[in-house]
Amino acid sequence: FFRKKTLGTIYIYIYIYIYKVYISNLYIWLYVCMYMTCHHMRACVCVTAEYHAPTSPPTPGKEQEVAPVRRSSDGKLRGRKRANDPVPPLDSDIERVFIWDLDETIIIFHSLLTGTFSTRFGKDSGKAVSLGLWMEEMIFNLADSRLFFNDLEECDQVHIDDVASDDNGQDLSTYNFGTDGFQSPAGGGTLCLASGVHGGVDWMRKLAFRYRRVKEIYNTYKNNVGGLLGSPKREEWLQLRREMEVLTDLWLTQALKALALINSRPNCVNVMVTTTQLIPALSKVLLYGLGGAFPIENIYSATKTGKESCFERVTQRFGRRAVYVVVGDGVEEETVAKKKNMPFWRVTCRADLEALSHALELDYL
Amino acid sequence: MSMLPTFGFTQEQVACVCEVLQQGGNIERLGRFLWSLPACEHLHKNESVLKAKAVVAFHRGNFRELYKILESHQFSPHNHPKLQQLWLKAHYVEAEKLRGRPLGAVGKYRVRRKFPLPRSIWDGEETSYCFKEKSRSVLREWYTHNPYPSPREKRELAEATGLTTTQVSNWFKNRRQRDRAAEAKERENNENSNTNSHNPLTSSMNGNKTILGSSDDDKTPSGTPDHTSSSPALLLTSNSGLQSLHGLAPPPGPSAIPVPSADSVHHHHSLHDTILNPMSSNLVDLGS
Repeated sequence: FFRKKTLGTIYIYIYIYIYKVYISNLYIWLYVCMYMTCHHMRACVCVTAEYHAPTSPPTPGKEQEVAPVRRSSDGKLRGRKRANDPVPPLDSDIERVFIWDLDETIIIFHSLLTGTFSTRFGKDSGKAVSLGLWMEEMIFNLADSRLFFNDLEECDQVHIDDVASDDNGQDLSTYNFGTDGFQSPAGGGTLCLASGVHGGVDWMRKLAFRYRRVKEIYNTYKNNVGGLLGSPKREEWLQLRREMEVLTDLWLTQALKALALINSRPNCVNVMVTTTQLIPALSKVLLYGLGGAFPIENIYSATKTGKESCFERVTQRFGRRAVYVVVGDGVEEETVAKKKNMPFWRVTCRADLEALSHALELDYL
Repeated sequence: MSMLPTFGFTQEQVACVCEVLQQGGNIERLGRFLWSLPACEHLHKNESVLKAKAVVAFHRGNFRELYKILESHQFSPHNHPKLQQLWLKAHYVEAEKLRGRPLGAVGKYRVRRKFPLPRSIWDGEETSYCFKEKSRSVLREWYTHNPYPSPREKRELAEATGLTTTQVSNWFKNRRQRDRAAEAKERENNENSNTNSHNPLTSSMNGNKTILGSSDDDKTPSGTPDHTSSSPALLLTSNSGLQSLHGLAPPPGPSAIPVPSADSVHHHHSLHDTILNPMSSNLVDLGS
């Protein structure tokens, strides 16, 4: 009788032991799983088409897919991975923030249409205008067809995550945006007021879905715009890009060089604050091949609130410790920069971008 | 990188780099950057560049250089605070080195008095007041009309300036006190300068003659004690006019002395009397 009992308890002990081992194994397995997925994703990022990272230190500075998840959960995933992985810097670790203007600083677009570019740099104005028009068509085509610009034109946001709080996180892979009733008057589509008052919870959710889908598209295709456009548009686009680079003396290439240098440093980031509306801005970014240089969370549109308020948001995000450098061509960003005591790098010609790259290379900035 | 050494950055770009590196606290890199700049005079007169040089000099402990830079060029007001801090900190550090231990508040005050901020980084406005300039000007305005406000007026003033009535009362009380003291001092100064206006004339005449010979007893300037040991302290407390006369070392002349000092006694303040009377009595004693 005694023997049975002790035997029973022994068995119980053994079971408990095995159970514990099993659980800890499970834990390790989960850990490894996550490690593998993140590593895999990181490997994907390194292969870029448009955006060429320079020979960078072992730690790839850009962690596109992973970074947003990390940052938003702010430490939950970090904790586990600290042992093995070089962790991407938190926003508060950043030491230099380069705030870029988009139009006429990184890309040449509007001045092609108005003729100022061709006058200033002595280029064939007819060619400039035709390229400008062609690009404009592509931009708005993409914005309308894939980025819901028709729906979202009246409900412009400053930042892609601004309406995320109305999202319920449901799976969108089978969601039909065309028939969800967003546009109909009954859906409250016209109730998007500047003051921020919107119509209905339901409508807000649909709005959030759209922005989420835009984000997904951006992240999927930012290094593969051709895939987004599909043939034959893809070939057209490549040709347009080539011709533009020739006309602008490789302006964009120069800008990309500077952007890449900044991104290669773990303690520096690129942020964009543009006076274009958000959706067309994203379209421009994709079409000009800048998707690899700017994570979508780093793009702000100043149409609604003005540049000063956007700059303020950026400083709130990265903190007082960081040094902010404003790169632009216009009076507005210069004035705001002076006001906020941020050094301003003026870009009026390609040589200014070259000088910027140089200063970065020589470690002066 | 073999391309160009300093690559002809524009002045604006140089200023931008200086600003960035300063804000980031990267003084080493800043020093390296400044060193690499071409020796263009116009560039080196740029305010951002000078500011950067000052910061680098401070960090390297090169205080002579720092003072030179801060005094050499008129800086624009928005840079003043930072540069003033550099100036003061540098002087504090030097004083501490001399003293051998850290400086307290009084020590720092003395350093500030000894090395006043140069006007190139300071607009001359005293910044060490407790009350805001606005409040102070309101109070000052009121004081000129009426130095004795009634309790109700004090209350009104307190509201207008954002201070408490006690603060307003104290301000007026102190102001009256200081005005009175200043007035007394003012009068003393005036009277001193009166005697000086007589004395310098006679002393200038004598200056020519005492060189030639020491026999000119009659022309001894008035009120001048001829020997210093008995009343050096008194001499020093009286004004500079008398001191300069003393330097002429007139020959002992018992005859000439008493009368002029009696004269001066009549004209002067009682404070002065107490100085001159003992002096004249000493001299009279000598004479006899």
